[in-house]
Amino acid sequence: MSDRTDPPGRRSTGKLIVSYTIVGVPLLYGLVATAIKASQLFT
Amino acid sequence: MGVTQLLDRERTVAPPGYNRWLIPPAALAIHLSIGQVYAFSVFKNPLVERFGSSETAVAVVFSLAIAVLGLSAAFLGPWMERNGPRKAMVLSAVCFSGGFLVSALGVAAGQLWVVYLGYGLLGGIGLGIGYISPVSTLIKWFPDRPGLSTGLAIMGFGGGAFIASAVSDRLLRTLAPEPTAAIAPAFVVLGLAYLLLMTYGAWLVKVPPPGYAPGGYDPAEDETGVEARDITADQAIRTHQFWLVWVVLFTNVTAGIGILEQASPMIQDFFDQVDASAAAGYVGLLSIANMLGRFVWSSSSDYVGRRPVYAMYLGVGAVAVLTVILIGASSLAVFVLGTGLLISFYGGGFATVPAYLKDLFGSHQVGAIHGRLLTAWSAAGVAGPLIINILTESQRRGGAEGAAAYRPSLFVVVAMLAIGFVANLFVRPLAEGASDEDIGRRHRAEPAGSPG
Repeated sequence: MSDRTDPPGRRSTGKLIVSYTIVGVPLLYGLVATAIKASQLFT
Repeated sequence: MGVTQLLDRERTVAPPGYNRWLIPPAALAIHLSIGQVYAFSVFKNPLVERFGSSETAVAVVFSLAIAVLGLSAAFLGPWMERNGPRKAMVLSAVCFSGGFLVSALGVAAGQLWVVYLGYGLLGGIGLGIGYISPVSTLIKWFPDRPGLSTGLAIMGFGGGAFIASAVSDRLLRTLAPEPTAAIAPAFVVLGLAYLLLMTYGAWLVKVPPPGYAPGGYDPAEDETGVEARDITADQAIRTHQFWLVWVVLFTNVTAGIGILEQASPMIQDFFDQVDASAAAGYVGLLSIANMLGRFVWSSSSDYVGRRPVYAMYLGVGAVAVLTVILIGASSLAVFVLGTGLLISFYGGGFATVPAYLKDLFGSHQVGAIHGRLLTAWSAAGVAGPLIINILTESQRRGGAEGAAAYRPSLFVVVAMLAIGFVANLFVRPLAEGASDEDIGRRHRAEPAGSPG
């Protein structure tokens, strides 16, 4: 069996950063918006 | 070469050195998009006003989408396994986005049935295929950490509702002077945005080469020992293990949906000081618990095992609901903690189940098997709200008020969780040494419940 999870090269690191940013930014936006809404329970 | 050939499984095999951590964002791109379905209620009032119809008539759009989700996940799973994740993700993107665009036409033309056809039917197919499309691939890339990888993806389904809720609300307020006039353009914007995001996910996804195993992982040492068995979806549903896990998922989801569906009125009935605005905050808090539970509990199942984690979801969940029944009405903190914990287990149950199936049936057709199992979700979607609504209403008719009106229905939730807890205890690995043919024959001959 081969190990395909070699240390990522520069190209794959860039791809990782871009891909996690693309999905992470909207997720963070949604999370913050919901957290602000949730804070109404305690105000 | 045709476009469909470009999407074939054979053309999506990863080259040497491909980084497997690119697969979770591909899966998230799909699940963050289709998670929008849980935020459909944002459009409910504007749609009622636009069509001049009843709330029930508009609610059919959501119910239809969820029903078609279950059916398409159950029936299109084997097709998805044959054709690979990229083709499935593209089909999901076309159907889900197409559903929005068709619905925009329906809204513009004032024809509700076109919205049923668009969002309900077409969108529902996109939801079902999209939900199961990354599961097999994730488990094959992460045989050493299946709970973490599917937890990440299915967390996206919860997160997608946050994003869609905030974005849709803003679109309805900014695209036209009145929300009713903004529905059609909002559907177009969402449809195109989701098409882009889901296509990105499809472009990113790759299947591992044959014989792939991550460094340090030896399939022979996998404690489940079923990797090489290659059990198909048809064989899996003939095993009692499949139906025990079905009961586990059904009871866990019934309990969670029952609470979620009544969350806002329930907290207001339990506590006089909680108004509608604070109740909306409570619903937001439950959404966060739901999303975090998907990732945290599912990831932890890689270390503690799937059966113990479900024992916690169902056992501790039952204790949490009992605590809410007994002392929840006297303490807001206990009520919020108890229900929040239960909802985190509800999310965890969804996210952990693909890894549970992988443990039992191997990774060969785990996506298709997962698709069949999602019928438990559809059934629970009907049972959960029915249990809470019918029992609570009958209590109110009998003169019960506030927290007392919820007591019988919450006791039923505890009973459901207890049934799931017992079913989980009976889940055992398939008998060692049984061939594929044996599995089919044996489970046709033996009654359900016999030891595996």
